[in-house]
Amino acid sequence: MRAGLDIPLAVAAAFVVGALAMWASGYDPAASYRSMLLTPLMDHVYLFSALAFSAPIVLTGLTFAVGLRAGLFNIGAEGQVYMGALGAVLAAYLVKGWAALPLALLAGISLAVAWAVVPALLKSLRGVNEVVSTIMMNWIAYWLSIMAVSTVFANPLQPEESVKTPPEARLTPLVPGTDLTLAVPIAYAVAALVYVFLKYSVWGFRISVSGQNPLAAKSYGISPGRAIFYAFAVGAAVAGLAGVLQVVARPPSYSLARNLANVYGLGFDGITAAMLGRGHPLGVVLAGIFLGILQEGARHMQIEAGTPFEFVRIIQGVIILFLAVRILRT
Amino acid sequence: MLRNIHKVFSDGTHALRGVSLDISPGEVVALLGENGAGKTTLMKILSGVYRPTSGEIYIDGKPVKFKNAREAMKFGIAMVHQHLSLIPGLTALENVALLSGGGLSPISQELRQKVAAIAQELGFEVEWDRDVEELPLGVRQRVEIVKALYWGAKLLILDEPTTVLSPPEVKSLFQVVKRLREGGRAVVYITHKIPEVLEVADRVVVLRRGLVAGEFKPPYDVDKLVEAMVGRRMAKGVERVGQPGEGAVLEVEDLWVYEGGRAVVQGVSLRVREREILAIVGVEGNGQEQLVEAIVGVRRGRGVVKIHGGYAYIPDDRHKALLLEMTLMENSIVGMEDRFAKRWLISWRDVEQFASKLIEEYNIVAPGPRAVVKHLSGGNQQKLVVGREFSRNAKLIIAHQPTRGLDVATTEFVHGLIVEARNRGAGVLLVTSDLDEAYKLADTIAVMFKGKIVAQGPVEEMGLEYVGRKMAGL
Repeated sequence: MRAGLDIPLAVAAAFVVGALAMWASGYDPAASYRSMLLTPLMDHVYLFSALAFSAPIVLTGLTFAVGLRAGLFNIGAEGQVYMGALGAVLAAYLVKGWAALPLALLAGISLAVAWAVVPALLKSLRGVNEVVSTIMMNWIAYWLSIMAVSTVFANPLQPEESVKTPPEARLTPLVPGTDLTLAVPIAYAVAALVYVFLKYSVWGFRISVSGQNPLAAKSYGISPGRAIFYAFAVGAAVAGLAGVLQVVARPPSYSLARNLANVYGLGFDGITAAMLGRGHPLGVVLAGIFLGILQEGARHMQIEAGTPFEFVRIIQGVIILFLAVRILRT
Repeated sequence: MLRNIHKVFSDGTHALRGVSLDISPGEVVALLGENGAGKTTLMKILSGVYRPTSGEIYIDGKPVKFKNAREAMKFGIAMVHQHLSLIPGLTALENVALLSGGGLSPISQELRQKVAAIAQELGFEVEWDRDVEELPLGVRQRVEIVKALYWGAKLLILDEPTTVLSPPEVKSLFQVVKRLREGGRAVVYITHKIPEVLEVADRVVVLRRGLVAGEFKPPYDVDKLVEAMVGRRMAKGVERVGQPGEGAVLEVEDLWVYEGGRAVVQGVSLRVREREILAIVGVEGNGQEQLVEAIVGVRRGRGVVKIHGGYAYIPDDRHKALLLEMTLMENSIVGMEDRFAKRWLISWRDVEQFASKLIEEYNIVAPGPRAVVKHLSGGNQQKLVVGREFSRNAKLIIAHQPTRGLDVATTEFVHGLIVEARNRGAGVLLVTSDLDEAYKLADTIAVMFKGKIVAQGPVEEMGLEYVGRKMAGL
């Protein structure tokens, strides 16, 4: 079927466009792709680093995928990741010792869900377009986080980052010398849970029904408003978890960078992952790993072939463009 | 001319198994067949909407291939779909000017005159500058016909054109078909209603399960047509047994519904009792749709609606009830999903069994419970809705045009189900514009006109002539 081919085609087309861009800018596409795609697979340190990159992308991809099921174009994961990270920093600021970890999860996920409540209520009660409301919430979260990290949560010893997670509360590498922490298996397990939720739970089914035909849902006693609310909430919890893990399980700093560098853009990478994974939770995992490899590979490309990191962004952007054309047409 | 057309949908539905058909100019060919026989699929191939899995199309002896409906249009082939495809928000005239895939051409004086001339030739009166959404369905259909002719259609395909029409509109449609023929155009008339065939067709081709089951010329032998179409004898109807009870299953008091600031339902009160079929009759567009949708809670209304013991709901348009992109399994449990959940999780194995049971009991033509619903024919989709709704075992059944678009045998079957449910003690709110259906089934008849119930009484006391006058607002 044609439908089975479009994703590989979009990826291939994006690589072609990327190659043209490199060639036009005077870089060597062949050498660049070799270091981008093969080097991460050559060494377990690089591979684990790629997997570590994939964990938050998988989680934010799930946020977008759950939204799609409910008929939403929920791009609020970006801001919800910030709020999750902020919750983890809040926990690090308030508590010393291991208790900072559960508190980080609680605070981070709660803040992220609270961030989704606004667009969820606006959408289900007043029909406000979720694209507009989530973008606005993203910016509020952005500046709020910048302010918090620069003032109350600032680290007096290292001005470029926030207070650090207490050592006892950190999820440290499972294999010493690599970036592979518990965050990676947790992200994949959450994907499996989301899969079960969507496929087998009563509300997962209701979310799909409302997303496909809100009128039918309403006619037969399923409230589309509630389905939208749950889809937002589940998505936000997962995105919030991504934010928390970026702080408590990301060596070496275990903090939130003052310019938000370790959380910035994750929500949008998630949209790519969800589109590449066709909105299926397990597809999102595969797509997340692919994007993780690209990110890890981008570093090697920069070092080995001298090609700037930004070309990976070009490739990702073109993938979205091609897939979006398809999604908008159908 | 179509040669040996096959069509297999991606989920395995084998809709056409080698059909050939010739059509000449100035000829009205009726394509007769039951739901799922492949009539609409065949014509969607001819009009470029679908591509055939195999087989060829020839026009004036030359083989052609259509990529889309627009290419078929270039060869003068146009189809008026059962679910009309005008764009709401545009005026009738703008809809004519809008060519699928070609964008909106500016409304020139020339276009306006040409459209008016075509309409006049066919004897249409249309308010061309109104939003099509405000026009009655019968008029929208005329707009589609004018549109097809404006863009040069020589072969016009009408898919079940009378399903949305009232009896006088049907009469004038037949006139239109005759005028089209006189103008030298060919018409393919898709239907499952034999009386219509007798009225308009120069030739009848009967399809059954994806094959040509017979071809007939006048004078027609109705029994032969039925036999070719159904291929089996029909079952006997079910009789109402016992009198309505006292307990109410639905109570509506002083219900008002507004649409665009206009009161479309004006203070309706009604009561459906156990073991009662209450039929609301009326010309379509007198507030029936809004009344029903307010009762099931899709629309906001002012007033009191009390439902005792749950409801089943067959809407007037099956697209309001189905998830077209999903499987029969998923569709079969909408609104009942919690019944299939053990602890927190839905048992899809149980659902599969349930869906298979529906397929069997309701004679749904489908490759299996995992088939995607959009590939089922309209009639089979309707059977799925009916099957699901009757499995709810609700005390109240709300049936809005439940047999629209169904063939003779299936209509009979659905009528039987409604009466059986009533005999078991359920109350039925039947909303229909088909008076035969109302008189056949109802204990009580109520007439709706301009948002009000203008007459109501036991069926024995409601003479046909009286009801007809009330429907017309006299």
